[in-house]
Amino acid sequence: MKKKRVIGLMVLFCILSAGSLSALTLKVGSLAPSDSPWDTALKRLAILWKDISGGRVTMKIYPGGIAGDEADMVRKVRIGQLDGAALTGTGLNRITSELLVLSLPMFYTSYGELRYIFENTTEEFSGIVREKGFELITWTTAGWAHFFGKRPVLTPDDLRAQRIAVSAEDEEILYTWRAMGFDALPLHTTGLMAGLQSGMAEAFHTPPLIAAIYQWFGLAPYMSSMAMAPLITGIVIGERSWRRIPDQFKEEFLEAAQTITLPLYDEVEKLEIEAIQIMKDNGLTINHQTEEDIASWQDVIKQGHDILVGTSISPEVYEKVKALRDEYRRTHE
Amino acid sequence: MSSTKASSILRKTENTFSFISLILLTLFPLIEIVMRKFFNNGIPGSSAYIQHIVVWVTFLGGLITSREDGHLALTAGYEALHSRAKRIVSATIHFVAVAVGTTLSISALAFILLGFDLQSRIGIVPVLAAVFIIPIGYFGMTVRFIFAKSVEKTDRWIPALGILLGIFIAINPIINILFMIFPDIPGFFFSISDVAFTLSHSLRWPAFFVLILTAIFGGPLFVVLGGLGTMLFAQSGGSLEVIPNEAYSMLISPSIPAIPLFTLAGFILSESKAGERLVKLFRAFFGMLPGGLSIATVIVCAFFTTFTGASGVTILALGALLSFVLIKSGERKQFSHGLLTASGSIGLLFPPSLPIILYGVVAQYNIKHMFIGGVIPGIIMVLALAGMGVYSAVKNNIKRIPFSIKEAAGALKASLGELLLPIIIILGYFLGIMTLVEAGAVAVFYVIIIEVIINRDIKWRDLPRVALKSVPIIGGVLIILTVARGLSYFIVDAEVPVTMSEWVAAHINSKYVFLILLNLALLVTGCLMDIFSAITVVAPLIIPLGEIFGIHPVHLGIIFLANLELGYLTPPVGLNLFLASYRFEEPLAKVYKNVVPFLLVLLAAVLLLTYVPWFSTALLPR
Repeated sequence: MKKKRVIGLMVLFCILSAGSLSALTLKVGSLAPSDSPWDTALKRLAILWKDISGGRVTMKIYPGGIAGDEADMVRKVRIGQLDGAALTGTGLNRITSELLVLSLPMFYTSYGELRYIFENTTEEFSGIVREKGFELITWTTAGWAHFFGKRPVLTPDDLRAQRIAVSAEDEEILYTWRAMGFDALPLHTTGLMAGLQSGMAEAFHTPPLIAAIYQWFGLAPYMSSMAMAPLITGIVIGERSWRRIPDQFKEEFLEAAQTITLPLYDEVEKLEIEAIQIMKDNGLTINHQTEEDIASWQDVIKQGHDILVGTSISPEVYEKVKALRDEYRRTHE
Repeated sequence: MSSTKASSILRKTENTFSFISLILLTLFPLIEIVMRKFFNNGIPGSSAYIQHIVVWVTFLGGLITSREDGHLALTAGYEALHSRAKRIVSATIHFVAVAVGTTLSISALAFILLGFDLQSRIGIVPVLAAVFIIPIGYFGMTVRFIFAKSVEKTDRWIPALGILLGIFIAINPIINILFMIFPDIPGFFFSISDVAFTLSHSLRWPAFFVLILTAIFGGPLFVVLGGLGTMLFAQSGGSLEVIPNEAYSMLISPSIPAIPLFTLAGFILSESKAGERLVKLFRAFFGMLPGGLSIATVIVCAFFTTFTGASGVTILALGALLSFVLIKSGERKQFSHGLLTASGSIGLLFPPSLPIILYGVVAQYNIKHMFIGGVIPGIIMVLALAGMGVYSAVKNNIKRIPFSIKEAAGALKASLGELLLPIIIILGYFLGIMTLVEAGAVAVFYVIIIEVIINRDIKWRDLPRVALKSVPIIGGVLIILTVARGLSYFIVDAEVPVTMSEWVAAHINSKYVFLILLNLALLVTGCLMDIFSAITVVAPLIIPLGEIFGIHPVHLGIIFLANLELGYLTPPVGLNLFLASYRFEEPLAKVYKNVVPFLLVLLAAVLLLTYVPWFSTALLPR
C-alpha cells in the first residue's frame, strides 16, 4: 500500500518534471542598453536558439542592467534566478580572475590578435569557467579602453600627476595601480561624475563609447590616442541551466553563438568612431602619442603584469596567451 | 534563571558587536581620507570592508529591533480588537512571522553557500565570515518572534509551528543546499521542486490574503514584504534565494553606508543640547518672518537631500533635531512632523543630485541641461512647502520675534560648532576631499568632538548608549528597504514595466491621457521602488513613450523625478513615511494623517509641473 503510494508520487513527479523540460525559458541578464549592438546580438541569439530547438528553448533578456550589476548577475546565475548573463571583464573576473589575462593593458594591439587568441584558447578557458559552475557560450570585445584626463595623458608621468579613478568593483586593478605608485581612487560607476566634478578624480580609463554614454568626457576632455586594453565581454550560462538544455542542441547552440559575435567587431568599431566624433564635437581633444611616448609605458606595463601574473593570473595561462599572441604577430607581419 | 542569564549574555554580545561595527564603519572612511591625503594610498579593499560592515550593522540592528519588539508595523487594526481576539490574532501573526522568518533564514543560508565563490575573500576575510550574519540575523529574528512579548506564554506553540511551514516553503533552497553538498543527487529531488512550484502557484492567492491580513493586524512590515516577495518568486518558479540576494546587493551598493553614518551623527546631535542652541539661533535670525522657522527648515532639508541623493537620510539624520526646533518655537507637533516628513525628499531636483545624473545617463541626455531644467521645478516644490509653513504660522498666530543683534550674536557664538558641521561637510565634498560616505564618517567624528569633547553635552561613557539607540532604527529601516528591493526585483523579473509600456504604446493616443497615466504609474513606482532602481528599470521604458508623445526629454525627466518624490510620501507604503514613523516614534497611521495636507500641496505642484512644460524648459539654452 505504502509502496504503491510512493510509486504513484514518483509518476506524478515525472509527469510534472517532463512538462517543465519540454519548454525551457532561459533568463539572461545584460548590462547592454536596449537596442545597442550587444543587445541586438543577444536577441539574435535568442531567435537562433529557438529555431534550433524547435521552440523548446526560449530566452528572456533583461537588458540595461535591470537585473543588477555584474557581480549581482553572477550571483543570480549561481542561485538560479538567472540562467545566464552577458558580462564584461568585471563580471567574468568574479567567476575567475584568470580571465584578466585577456584585458591586460598594452598587451594586445589589434582585434586580429584577440580573435586569434579567443579561437585558440576557448577550450582551455571554457574548462576553467566550467570548474566554477558556468558554461562559456561565447566571448568578444566591446572596444578598447583609452585614458581620459582633465589634462593630457601622454606618458606615465602625465598620469602620475592626476588621480585615477578605478572601478571599485575591480579590486585587483586598483591594487595594481597603487602598487605601481599611481594615485588611484576606488569609485563606483555612478560616483565618477560627481568625483570628476569635485576634482576628487582627474583621470580614468574606459572605452570611448562608455565615456560618451556616461558623459564623463565633458569633465575630462583629453583622450589619449593609444588603445590601452581591450574590454572583454562574454556570455555565460549557469551549469544547472546548461544541464537542462537537451544535449542534442548544445553543439549547434555554441556554433550559433559564434555567428552572432562576428559582426559585432565591425559594428562596435563603427559605433566607436561615431562616439569619438560626437565627443569631439562637444569639446574632446585627442592627444596623439608618439612612438617615444608609447615606448615610455613599457616599463610601467611590465611592472603591472608582474604584479598580476602569479597572483590573479596563473603563469601557465599567461605564457600560453603570450605565446599565441607572439605567434600571431610572427605570422601576420 | 539560566535562560535570563543566557539572554543577557546574548544582549551584551549583540550590543558589543553593533557598537564595534559602528566604530569600524566610522573609522574605515576616516583612515581612507587620511591615507589618501598624506600617503597617496589607502587600505586595500577598504570599500568592500565598509560595504560588509553595513551588512552587519543592518542585521545586528534587525536583531536588536526584534529584541525590543520594535519592527515597524501598522497597528491600527490590532488596536481595534478586544482583548480575547488580540490574543488569538497576536499568536496567528507571529505564526506567519515565524514561517516567513524561517523561509528567509533557509533561503539566506542557501544564498551564501550558492551565491558566492566560497574560496573568495573580502579583503583578507573569507567571504563566508563576511556574510554569515545574514542567515543568522534572519534566524535570530525568527526565534524572537516565537518569544515575542505580545504572545501569551501558553500560546507559544502556535508561532513555533510556523517553523514547520517555513521549512516546507523553503523546500527549494533546501534542495539547492543538498545539491551543493551532493552534486549527484537524483533527479527525483528536482521533481519535488517542481511539485513545490505547482503547489505554491495554486496557493498564491490564499497566501497573498494571509499576508495582507497580517499587515493590517500589526505584523512587522518587513515580514509582510519579505513574505510577499517569497510568495511571488515561489509561484513563478523563481529562486527564493533571490530575496536575500537583493538584500545583500542593496546593502553593498555604493552610497548606502552614508545612511547609517548620517543617522548616527544625527542621533548624537539630537541627544546633545544642540537642538536648544539651534532653536535660539533660528529664532534670532528667522523669528521675525511669519513661518520663518518652517522656511529655514525646508531649505535646510532641501540642501541636505540635494547632496545625499534623496535616500530619505534627511529624515533620519535631521528629523529629530529639526522637529525639536520647530515645536519649541511654537509650531504644532502634527504640523512639524508632517512638514519634516514631506521635506525628506525635497531638493532632489537641484544639482548635484545623483538621481538627476543617473537619469541623464539612462536617458542619454545632456546632464547639465537636466540640472538647468530642474531649477524652477525644484524651487516650486520648496516654495510649496515653505508656503505651508507661512500659512500655518499666520493662521495659528505664532508670535514673531523682533530681530536683535545681541541675541543673534550670542546664539551664533553658542552654536558655532554645529554651524560649522554642514560647512565642513559641504566643502569637503565639493572640493573633492571626500566622497559622500566619507563625509558621513567625518560628520560622526566631528559631532563627537563637538558634543562630547568641546560642549560636553554627552559624557564619554554615555556615547555607546547613544550610539546603540540608533542601531534598531538603522536596522529596522534598512531591513525594510532590503525586502522592498526583493519585491521590486519581482516586478523586473515578471517584466511588468515592459508589458505596461507596450500596452500604453498600443492603446493610448492622447498626450494628456498619457501624462495622467504616467502620474499614476510613477506614484505607484515611487511607493514600491527606491529611486535608483526606478531610474534603471522604469525610466528606459518611459523615455521612448515620451518621444512618441512629443514630450521634451528634460520635462519628462522632471515629471519622472518629481512624481517619484511624491511617491515616497504616498500612504500606505511610501518610504519616507516609514522613516518618519521611526524617527518621530509615532505609529504609521498618525504619520499618514500628518502628511496628508503636505501631500496634497505637493501633488498640486507636481501636476503643475507635469502639465506646464514651460517650468522645466524655460531656462534651457535655445
